Amino acid sequence: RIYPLMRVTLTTSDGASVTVSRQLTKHSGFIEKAITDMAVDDNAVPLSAVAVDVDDATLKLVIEWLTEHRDDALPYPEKTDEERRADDIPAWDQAFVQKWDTKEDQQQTLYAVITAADKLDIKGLLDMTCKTLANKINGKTVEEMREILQLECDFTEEELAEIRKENAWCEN
Amino acid sequence: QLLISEMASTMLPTELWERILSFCDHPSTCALSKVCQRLDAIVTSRNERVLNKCRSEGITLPADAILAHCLGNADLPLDARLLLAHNPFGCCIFPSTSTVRGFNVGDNEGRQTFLRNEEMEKGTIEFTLDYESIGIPRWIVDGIRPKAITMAGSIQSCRTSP
Repeated sequence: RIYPLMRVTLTTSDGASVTVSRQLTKHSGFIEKAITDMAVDDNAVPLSAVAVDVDDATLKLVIEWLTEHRDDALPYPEKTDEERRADDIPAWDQAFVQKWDTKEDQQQTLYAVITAADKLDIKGLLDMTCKTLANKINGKTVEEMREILQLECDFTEEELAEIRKENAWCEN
Repeated sequence: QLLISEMASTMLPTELWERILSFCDHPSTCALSKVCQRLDAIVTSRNERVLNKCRSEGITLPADAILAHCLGNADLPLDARLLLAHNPFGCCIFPSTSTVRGFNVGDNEGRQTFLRNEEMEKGTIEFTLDYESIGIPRWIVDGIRPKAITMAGSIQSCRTSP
């Protein structure tokens, strides 16, 4: 049973401590496991000591999302590949992510939150951020994708020639 | 310790990329495979895993030649993962998908003639299938046409050899 008034202190990889309600942390499979299985003292969960590298800035965003979604049903309804869609992000979540677009490192923030959601096992946040990245990619050309993801083309000339050859008939 | 400003898409592990891909449409997934070698490997691996699952569950798949062609072309809306739940063919479209190596393209109102490679030495066995009547869309026939012409050339040389 979850006691909503119970508080949990999380210590980030850069040494900051944040105390939050158990009502929020119940959505994190990792934190719940840490509390129940790992016998942490005084409900203090040192994130860095248990191989979760989440910094203070990222954790604040995670907590902001958890606060909005504190009443979401548990367990999180997992969908099969065939049922997944990227166009059903709730309005609050869309606005939450759009706020990062004004930040210089908005793409890095997205990667950091995706990674944190995965490490902390917060499935709702993980799906929402993965959908956000998928929506940035969907419908883009290969060159645009490289720009968005900041990736270099590392194919050899021979491999590129092969790709062009394979696609020549349908691109003409 | 990693700071947000140091995060990059290259740091996302394969499992996370696979989750992201599960929300991408088929043309975008195909395009992603052309971005860099790592994404190409992730997309290819994912497609192969879905196809293996289809096979292990006894789902009828199109011939490998058609699948390989469709999976490599973003313009063709055949998605490997959708084959599992929504096999678009719903029936066995080839006498044996493992032995079909090529086919002739005939202009007989949409009917195509398939050749079974295993029978080449004894003489060619031909199969005539009406694609459209068994639900294979026209774009697939159009999509495999260049390959078919190449294969038809090699089959012709088999026929004429002593």
